[in-house]
Amino acid sequence: MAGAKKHGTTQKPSQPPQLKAKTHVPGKSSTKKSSKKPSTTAAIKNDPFARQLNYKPNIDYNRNVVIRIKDITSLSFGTASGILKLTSLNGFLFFLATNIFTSLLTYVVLVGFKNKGTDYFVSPFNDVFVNDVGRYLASYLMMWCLFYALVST
Amino acid sequence: MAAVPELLLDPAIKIWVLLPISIVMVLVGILRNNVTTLFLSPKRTVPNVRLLKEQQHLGLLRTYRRNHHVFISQSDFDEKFDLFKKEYEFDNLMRHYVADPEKLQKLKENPNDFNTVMSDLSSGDMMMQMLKGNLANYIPQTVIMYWVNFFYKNYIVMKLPFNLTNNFKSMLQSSMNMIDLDASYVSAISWYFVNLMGLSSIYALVLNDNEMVTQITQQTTQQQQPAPPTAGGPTVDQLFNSELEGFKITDIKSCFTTIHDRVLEKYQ
Repeated sequence: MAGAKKHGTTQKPSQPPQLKAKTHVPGKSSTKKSSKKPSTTAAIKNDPFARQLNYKPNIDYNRNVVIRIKDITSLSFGTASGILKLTSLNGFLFFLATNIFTSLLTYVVLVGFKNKGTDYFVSPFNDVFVNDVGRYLASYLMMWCLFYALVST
Repeated sequence: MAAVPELLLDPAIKIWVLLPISIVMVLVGILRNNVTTLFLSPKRTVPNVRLLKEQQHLGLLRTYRRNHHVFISQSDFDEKFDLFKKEYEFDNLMRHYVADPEKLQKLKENPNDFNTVMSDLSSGDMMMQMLKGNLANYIPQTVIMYWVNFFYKNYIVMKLPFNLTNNFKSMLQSSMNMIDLDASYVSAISWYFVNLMGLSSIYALVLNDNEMVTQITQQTTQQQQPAPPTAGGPTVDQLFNSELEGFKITDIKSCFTTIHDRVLEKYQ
């Protein structure tokens, strides 16, 4: 199992955010193991025990990495739009654009094209793009209002 | 954008109103976090031993049932089931709770009485914990809101960068009787509300603890101790019986049946 996984076996604390493989279980002998390559045998394909087993701490860690990145970016883009004095619809469009852009960039940089998102997240699209949009909008709105008020008066 | 704004705001307002409210809210959030960790974690009282025992025995049964594929065959499973059945029989079970044989006999005749034995063990400290959690959440909110209303009443504080309909006027411009004023000019209490929603990201970054933040912002207290049985609930006997019943009808699917395929696949 350790040989099959390229990521997640070594995580140094000083490194920039890096995702941990979803299935990495140190020191735990599991009865359910899966090969990374798509299995060829039909017997394996329909076998429920050949499915991936998720390791919750790693999943949580990955989700928190994404949340942290999006927290910081939504706050700073809120500041930017306040300083740019964007008003009404422009501001919300700016939020939408920057949010999608950040999500895309997060996905490309952290997951990349070689790996599947499902190696790191339970539902990659939801975890990277959709979840907690309300929270980021609220943070963006707060910084936008604050800096708009600071700049314009 | 009009060259001349319809309302000129004093630049000192932003320094003496907007920033203080934000700073106070961030600090109170951090304080609340610390208070919650201080008051709620170490005061974990020792739960009732009988209750804990019972919960863990039930948990054991459930775990075996959930992981039924570790059994090699049906006969292996049946063997375990017989063992459990013997162990959690009524007599055997009651012996853990009631030492007096006379009382035991009485209980056998009327098993529903057993609830009364258990129910007076219901803990008052769990209520206390929940009360404390709720207080830690609601008191700061109320205090800050009162403070904002008391200090910064009756004047416009900021202009929001987006337009709002006039329906918002009653909420965001309360106690200001200016009918023609644009709704995007708002009073201090609306800045408080914007902060209330937007600060969760800041908390997450400052406290570096996402779990705690969701707990703070969503204002939910989790129940971690097993709930004591209430008077109307099922008796312990019934609980174990239903669990055993479920255990019995479990469909065994051993994970060892296809193990050769998987091993071969792995070392191909």
